Amino acid sequence: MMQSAVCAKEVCFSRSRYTGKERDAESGNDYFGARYYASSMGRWLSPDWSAKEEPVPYGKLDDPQTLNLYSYVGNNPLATVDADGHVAGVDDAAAVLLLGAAVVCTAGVIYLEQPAQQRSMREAGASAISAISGFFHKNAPAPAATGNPHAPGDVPNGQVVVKGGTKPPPSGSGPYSGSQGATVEKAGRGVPHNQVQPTTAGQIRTAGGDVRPAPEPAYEGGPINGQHVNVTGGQDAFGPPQPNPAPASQRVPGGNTLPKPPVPNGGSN
Amino acid sequence: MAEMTPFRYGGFYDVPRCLSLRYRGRRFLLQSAFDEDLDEYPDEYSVYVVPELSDDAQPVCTPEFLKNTPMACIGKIPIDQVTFDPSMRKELDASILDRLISA
Repeated sequence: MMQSAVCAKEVCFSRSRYTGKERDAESGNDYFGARYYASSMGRWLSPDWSAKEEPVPYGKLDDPQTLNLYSYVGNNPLATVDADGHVAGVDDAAAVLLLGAAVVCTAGVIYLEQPAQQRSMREAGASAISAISGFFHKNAPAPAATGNPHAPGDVPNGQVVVKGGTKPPPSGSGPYSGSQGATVEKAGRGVPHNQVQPTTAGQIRTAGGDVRPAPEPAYEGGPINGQHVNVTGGQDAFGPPQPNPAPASQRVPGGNTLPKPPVPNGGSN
Repeated sequence: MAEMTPFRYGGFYDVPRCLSLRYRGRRFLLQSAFDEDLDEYPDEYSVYVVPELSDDAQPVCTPEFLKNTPMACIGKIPIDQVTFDPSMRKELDASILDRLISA
């Protein structure tokens, strides 16, 4: 992978940074595919998510470090490396462990007090996970429409959002697709188009619209395009089309868009 | 009358760009493949009949399947005439296929 030099505060460094991930020169955040990592804080900028909606994605009851959706590799970076942005650990360990212990105890009491319901400890544990998840997500916006692999979380106002192509965004009230990134180039990686219409999440909101994370599989069972967002309203916020600065070979996870099927017996489709 | 039919999809931009569903005993593939020349997704679905597979759960909106499975296009339907469920990711009114099946 070609690396370019970036200078900031009189210090030159390669764009490829922590664990080989690319660092955004403007924000200083590292891009892991599924989400951005703030090396200055040692935390993810958004909670972990999975294609299948779960209370705590990748959370394990027997490993409390996995119950925080914002920490990096369970706070064990010496032994573990995150490949794609999907792993969780525990933030503010003491407080969260206390909270987790309290919730588990509460769930356990409920279980013990209701033997007739034959609730298993597994169910009690699930209640605990749900409660802990509620704690972490209490300030996060509600996920968009169900039935799609939506991530809870937010698209910060400063985040670039592009609409692919030259057509204006659909005028209806329903959501339409966009791609988010720290820069136009990064956002442009989430669409296959050669032209993009850029704006920011903040400008969309100022124009009365909204932006929600909506990761989508590039194809059935394929890699997740974590940059995909659902945009509602805010059509006037988008700028005129400009060339997509993202190299074509780096657009849309998984490589290219789906091909058309071949024609049987030399006919034509 | 709406006949909402579940579908599976892969690739989503404004709408599912490749989806498959079983309707009236056959499995159909609806695809709006990105057009490199137009630099845009088409406003219509090309409709294909998927060959019967041993496993109905086999994904069809994958690069491998689409590249290796010859299918004849039986027609096209404008995307704005397709009625989806509110999430646009679960069900659609498959009766729009009747015009192609009966043609």
